[in-house]
Amino acid sequence: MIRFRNVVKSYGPVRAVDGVDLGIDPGELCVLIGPSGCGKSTLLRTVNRMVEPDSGEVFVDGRPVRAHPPEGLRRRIGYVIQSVGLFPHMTVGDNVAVVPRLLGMDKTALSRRVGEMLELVGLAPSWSARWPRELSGGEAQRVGVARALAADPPILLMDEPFGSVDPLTRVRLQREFLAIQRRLHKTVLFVTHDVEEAIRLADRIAVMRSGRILRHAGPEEFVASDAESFVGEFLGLEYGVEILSRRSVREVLRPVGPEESGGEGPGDGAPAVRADASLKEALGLMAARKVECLAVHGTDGRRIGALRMEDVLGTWKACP
Amino acid sequence: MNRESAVERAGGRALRREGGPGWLVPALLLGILVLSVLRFDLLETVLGIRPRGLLVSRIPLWELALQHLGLVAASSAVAVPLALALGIAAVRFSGSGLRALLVAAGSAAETFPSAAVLALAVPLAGFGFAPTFLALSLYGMLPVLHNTIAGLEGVPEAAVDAARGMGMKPRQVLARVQLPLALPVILAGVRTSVVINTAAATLGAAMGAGGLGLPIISGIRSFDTALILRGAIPSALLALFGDATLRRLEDRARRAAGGTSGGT
Repeated sequence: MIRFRNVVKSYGPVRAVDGVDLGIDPGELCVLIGPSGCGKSTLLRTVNRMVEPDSGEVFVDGRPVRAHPPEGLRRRIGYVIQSVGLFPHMTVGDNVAVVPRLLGMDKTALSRRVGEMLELVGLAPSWSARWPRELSGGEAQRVGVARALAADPPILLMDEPFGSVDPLTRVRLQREFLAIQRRLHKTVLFVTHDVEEAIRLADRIAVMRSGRILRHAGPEEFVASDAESFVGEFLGLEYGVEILSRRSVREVLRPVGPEESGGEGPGDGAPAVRADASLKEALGLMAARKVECLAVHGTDGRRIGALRMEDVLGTWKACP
Repeated sequence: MNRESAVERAGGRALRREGGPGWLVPALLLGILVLSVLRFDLLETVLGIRPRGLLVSRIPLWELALQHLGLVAASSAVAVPLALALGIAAVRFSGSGLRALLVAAGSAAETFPSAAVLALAVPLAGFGFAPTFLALSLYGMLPVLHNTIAGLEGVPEAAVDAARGMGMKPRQVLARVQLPLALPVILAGVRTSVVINTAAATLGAAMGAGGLGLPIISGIRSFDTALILRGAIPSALLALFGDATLRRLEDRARRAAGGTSGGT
């Protein structure tokens, strides 16, 4: 869907992007991660021609982006930036309607579309009459996402979209965005410097430094990477724990069965974790309570199984 | 959602609600201005002064006021659009050196006294309305030009980046995002320009352009304070009226631009 071929972009003597080859499949969420100044935003902006490469080629849908007039190209690519960039002189609804309006959508379709988009990002359609200054940071970025999706573009470029909201809101926005992405299957290029965010969202992660892609792989494949290398150092030793956030307790729990009702399961006093919690949270609870075994509860609060530490740690071997 | 944003939201609503009776001040000033022009003798009676009559013009005060207003209106009607266009061009083609040139020329010209500009216009355009109009137009451009550049450059970069990234053409970015957001600052420049020119237009009387400067100059020649006041008070009121009116428009533009209601 998106392909970079030997893309180079220099600013003066600095090579911001230094010969990048990278491919992103349709429906894939690719996270571009690296320290600030590594060229990840510059690379992202070559896709919608906000930045023109000095050499090399960027392809969208098999066609070089140079072949499209920039405005037409950009209207078919969703764009979300860290500072949101809502237009303060337009209502929330008018902000969301910008691209459909540029594409000539008629009024009734437009207002229906705005309502749908606001609902998609978890805001009531009545919010369309509000003004950007009345929104909190998290609400503003929801509107930013709704605006980017309004014309139903197949591609979404997201440049640190959740970078300037508080950590709790950030996690909530990430979860909601992931749910949206599972429904819409956009091809997403997502820039961040937050390793946890990359692990939570990515289908594939591309680690970048000094304008080059050092490694491009699925999040679970990184664990084996050399801790001495830059990639290992950047991702950090806690990566092995962070990656557990991608799996839920439900996937590895031992169901309560007749054969287990004997002595093996945890007693009534064992700390309990919900089945939809992540393995990272379960491991955290084990570490905090200094136990190797947790009771697992369903959403209704009934015990449905047990979780042992070896189950948590053993998942690696189960999933290469 | 959370309490903080609810408070902000309530604040935002309160902001938009105010501003209804704001036209009271301009209306009052207009009333006083009209009254002072038509019945200046009432004020003179109250103050217990009366021009000695040596050089009192035969032209009625209201006619001088209209001449004055015409001078300011005509020069602003030329200066504002011209300066706006130059300012937009300066920002749009900022790489070409036009911006640097205009800013440098503008700053240099601002240090020039308006009296000197008027005097220099005489050899170019002769006597009467033309040189005054020319000088006021040129002089009135400076604040508008300055504020147009500052206003456009002060538009949040994120908004411009988002606008471009969503596929607006440069002209659409300008018309739909940059100009509406820069409008309060641009209008502040227009206000400064009008106020300065209302005052500077009194000097036009020395160039034979008439206006409220006529009684002032005659009064200075004949050491007649009462006569000076006949020109000075209406022209000051005219400037105040222009200032108050444009300030209202500016506040309105500021609210439309989504900012907080600024100033007093």
